[in-house]
Amino acid sequence: MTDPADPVIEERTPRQWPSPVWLVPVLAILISIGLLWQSWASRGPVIEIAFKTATGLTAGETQVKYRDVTVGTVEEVRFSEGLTQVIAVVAMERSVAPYLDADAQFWIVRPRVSAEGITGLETVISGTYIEGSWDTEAGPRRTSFTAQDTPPLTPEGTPGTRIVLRATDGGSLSVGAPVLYKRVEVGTVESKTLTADGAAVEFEVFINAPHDRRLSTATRFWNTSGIDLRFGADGAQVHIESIASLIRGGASFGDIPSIEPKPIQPGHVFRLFASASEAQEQVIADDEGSQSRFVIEFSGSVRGLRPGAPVEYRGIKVGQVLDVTAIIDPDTQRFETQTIVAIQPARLGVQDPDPEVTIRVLTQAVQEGVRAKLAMGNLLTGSLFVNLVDEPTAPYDEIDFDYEPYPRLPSVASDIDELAGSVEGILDRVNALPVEALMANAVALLENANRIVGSDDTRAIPGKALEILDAVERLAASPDLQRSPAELAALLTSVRALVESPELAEAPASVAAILASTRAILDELETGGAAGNINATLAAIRELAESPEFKALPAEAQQGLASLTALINDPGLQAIPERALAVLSAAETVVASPGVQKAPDELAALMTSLRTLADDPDLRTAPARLASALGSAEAMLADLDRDEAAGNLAATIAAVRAIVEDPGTAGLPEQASATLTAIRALAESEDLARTPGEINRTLASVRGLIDDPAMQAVPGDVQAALAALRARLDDPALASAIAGIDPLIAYVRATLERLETQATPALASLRAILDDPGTRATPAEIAATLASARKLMDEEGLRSAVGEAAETLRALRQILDQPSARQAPAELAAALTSARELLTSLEEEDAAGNLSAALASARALLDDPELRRLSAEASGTLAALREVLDAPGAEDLPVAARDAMREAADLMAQFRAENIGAATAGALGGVEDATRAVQQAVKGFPALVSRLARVSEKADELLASVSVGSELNYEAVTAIREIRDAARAVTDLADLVQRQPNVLIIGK
Amino acid sequence: MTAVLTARAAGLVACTTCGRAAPPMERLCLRCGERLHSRPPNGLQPVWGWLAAGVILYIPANIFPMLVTRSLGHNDPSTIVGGVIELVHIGSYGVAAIVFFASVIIPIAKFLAIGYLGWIVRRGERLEPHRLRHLYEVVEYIGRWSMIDIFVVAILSALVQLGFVASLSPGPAAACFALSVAFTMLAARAFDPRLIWDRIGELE
Repeated sequence: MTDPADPVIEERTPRQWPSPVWLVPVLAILISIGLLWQSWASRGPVIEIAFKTATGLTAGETQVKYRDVTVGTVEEVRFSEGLTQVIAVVAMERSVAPYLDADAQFWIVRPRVSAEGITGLETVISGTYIEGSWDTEAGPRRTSFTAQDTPPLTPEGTPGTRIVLRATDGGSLSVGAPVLYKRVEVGTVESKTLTADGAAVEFEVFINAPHDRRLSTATRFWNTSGIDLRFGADGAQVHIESIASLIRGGASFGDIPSIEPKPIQPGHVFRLFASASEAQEQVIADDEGSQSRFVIEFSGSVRGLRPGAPVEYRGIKVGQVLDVTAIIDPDTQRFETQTIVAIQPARLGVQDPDPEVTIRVLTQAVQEGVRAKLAMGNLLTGSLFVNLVDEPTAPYDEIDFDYEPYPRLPSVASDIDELAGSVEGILDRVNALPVEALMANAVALLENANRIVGSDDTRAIPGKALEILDAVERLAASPDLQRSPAELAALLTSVRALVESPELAEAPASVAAILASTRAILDELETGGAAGNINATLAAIRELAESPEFKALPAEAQQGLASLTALINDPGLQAIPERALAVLSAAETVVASPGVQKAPDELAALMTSLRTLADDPDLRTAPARLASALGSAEAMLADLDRDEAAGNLAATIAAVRAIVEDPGTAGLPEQASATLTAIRALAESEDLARTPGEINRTLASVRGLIDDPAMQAVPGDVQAALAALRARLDDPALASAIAGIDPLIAYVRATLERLETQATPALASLRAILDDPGTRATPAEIAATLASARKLMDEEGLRSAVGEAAETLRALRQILDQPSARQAPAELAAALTSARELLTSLEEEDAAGNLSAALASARALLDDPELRRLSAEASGTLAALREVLDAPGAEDLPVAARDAMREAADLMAQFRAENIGAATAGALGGVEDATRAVQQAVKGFPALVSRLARVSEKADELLASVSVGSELNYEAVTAIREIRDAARAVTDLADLVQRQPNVLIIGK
Repeated sequence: MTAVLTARAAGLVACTTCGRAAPPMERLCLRCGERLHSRPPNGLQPVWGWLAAGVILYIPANIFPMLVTRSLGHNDPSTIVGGVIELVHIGSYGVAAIVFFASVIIPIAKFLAIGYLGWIVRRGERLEPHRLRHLYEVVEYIGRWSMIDIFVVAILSALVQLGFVASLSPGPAAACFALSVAFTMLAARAFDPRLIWDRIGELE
């Protein structure tokens, strides 16, 4: 077999240039390079952040966020050299790279429950991340940072000024607390650290712009945390800056106007004062270079004097106490207290800051008598202050410049101890008051008063009184009374004619003469031992009063009164006024008769005669006779006593009662009426009309007698009598009599004291009587009597009688207005002088003693059962008294008052039993300690409250964000449901794959 | 070894699609319309080109994350090897083996196999054509299974889209890996197995 012709396979000429398929790997290279470049390009600088711990940091996962935008990822977590720190290597975004300069801060955000509240709660779900903070200005790049332990309170880049406050103690000012200016929040406390030496606490404070412009060297900061409650020498002060700072604590600042403000640099250190007042007080104290310090040694106790207490001069604070210590005087080996004070020259008005000037001023003042003295600033707390007082009388002294450590100011003793002593005394007195007894008496008194006031009869009185008033009104309106003015005018005309007669004008002179005579008679009485007789008579009367029969009198008298009431109610008696009116009318007619008009002349003459008679020696012996008559009367009374006259009297009264009750007596009014009718007939008779003429004639003869020359001598006699009176007044005996008044008063007082001892049981008896049902019946009787009286008042006759009486009275007044009548008082004065002398003699006879004894008897009488029985008789009507007590409203007030009194009495008894004085003293002692404790507690409270407040606030926010209906919630629920389904499906798939791996290839 | 008359030796051109032998002058197969050429006009250049592209893209496919798991705001990107290691850590050795085999062993084996075939048909001294033929067929057959990773990623990405709580998304490596697999498949396809036999004649 031949080989077929060799086929010529034309190999096509390979092309000179490579296949286009090579574009594919080139493209692949470009894609790869592009990917790599993209990855590398998005990769920013790598920085290292040093942490104390790597809590929650995971390499490759933990992100770095700036304003909640992810700007980096932790790539590696490793230790620093020496294992001191954890270094997180972070790949940052290129965009933020330029800003990662020295001011960048990093901290780990994780759930944090602290004093400031709960933060970072969202990281529970999303995982811990690193938060970065930096300002918006690019700076020199840095690659190594140290993380903050806690998030900074002020975001980096916030405009403002950061300053430092230094305080001696941390107080309640906490991190995050607001800084206020005029109560507006302008800053925040960022940190609170102890200084390196531990001597002070420093707060880093950020003041936001533009408020940081307020800061200057004149600015003062003070703590406004909580309640500033202080008791000092200036009294009590309470200051609250704001409710917010009460809860969170806080600091305030303000400017001191007196200091020239200079600008400050960030980081300026201010002092933080405990309070606004302290900040103001310390304005001058700050200038310590100009202060002058002195030592004062006080002799007494310095308890209550504390550092910071003011030093005052005439009420103005000129300095303050720096320290109070004790030393042993090396010379005398005695215990001394040392009070170191700082005097501030500006407070004294010294402008020169050189201490020498201040010392010179004080030296001068001390030489002129200025001394240091302890004074009480506040009685309640017992706080003291140092008072510089002017004591011009103090011994000369000077400032002791040799004294160590500072010059010594001389002092004087204080008077605080005396004050305390007197206060204690007052408390003792108050404690000893018999409050319980007083309250018991008051309660008993109120109970009795309650019973009386509540009685029906007492309530009936107003009604009765109203009825009487009605009657009076009717009387005033009656035609008879309306008519009376006319009659009165007529009567007055007559009377005036009578009065205007010259004869009557002389009458007063005669009266004066008669009074002179009377005085003479009184003088006689005095000399005649009448006083002694009166005394004896009183003694007799006392015996009589003590007799049993006399004690029976009240019962009889009561029956008599009842009868009398019946009598008054008798119509006959009530007819009497009518009759009396008629009689008066007749009398008016008589007076108007011409005969009566002449009577005054005659009367004057008669008076003159009377005086002549009075001057008669026989009349002068009359007092002596009267004295003897009184003696006889005494004897008679003594006899009466012996003869049981009181019994007889009682019997007599009984008889009188019988008479009164007798039907015959009942007819008496008719008889009286008849008699009056007769009198009227008589008055109207012709004979009586003639009578004035007779009188007139008689008076004429009397005047003739008076016209006698002897009668003319009367004025001379009067003058002589007055001279005698003056001589008597000038008499030394009168002076001694006046001197005798003093012992008299003393005696009266002694007597009164005796009376008092006896009055107490008497009062007890009186109360028993008041309690007696009989006494309560009395109002009923009174009511009945008033009813009768009203009936009487209703009588027309009585109404006209009133008119008549008024007219008569007016006439009488005209007579009294006569000039001569005015001499009478002088004579009366003389008569009174005599009466006083008589009383003096009475005193000598121990009349008071007898009176006392008489009162004792009266008391015995009051104790008598008979008297009580008298009261018992009226019991029926007064029984209703208690019904009023039951009436609504009426009883409430008295009962309540009584209960209140009882409770008060119990309370007082309790107080006393617990020794109120000692308790008060102890309580006052404890007040100061309690106040301090309260102050501390109050200061601590805001911190606690602030924590609680923040915790709850955060919890609220969280709950609000997780609340039902939020989108997240809905999404989460839906997602979780879907995940569950998916997970179930994946699980099934995985199980299947594990069991049968080939299903991946061949399918299910 | 007996010489075998090949189409080429017979002056014919075999259609690579339908196997019809055609006279050399024929440009297109009369049966199936396929372009006819005795040997690839550019020789092995397409093979090398696709292979290079596949290898190049295989690098970023392993560097960049294949799958980004986002769970509750927490990103967890994982590469192919990282995912295998993670599966081993959680104890799913079977799945880890499958993923490792499909995503690492097979692609690399393919690179090596295609490179070896390309190299051996040009310069190989000792040829064992039947073995080479087996190798080529295995490569062709198994190459598509490397896409299983891509399928998983694609399916999971489509399924697990739970918003904030959990979501899966393919990373840049997925595209690279898919392209790499595709290119290697094209490389295998560009290799003309007839070249294996051409050398036999030369060797004899």
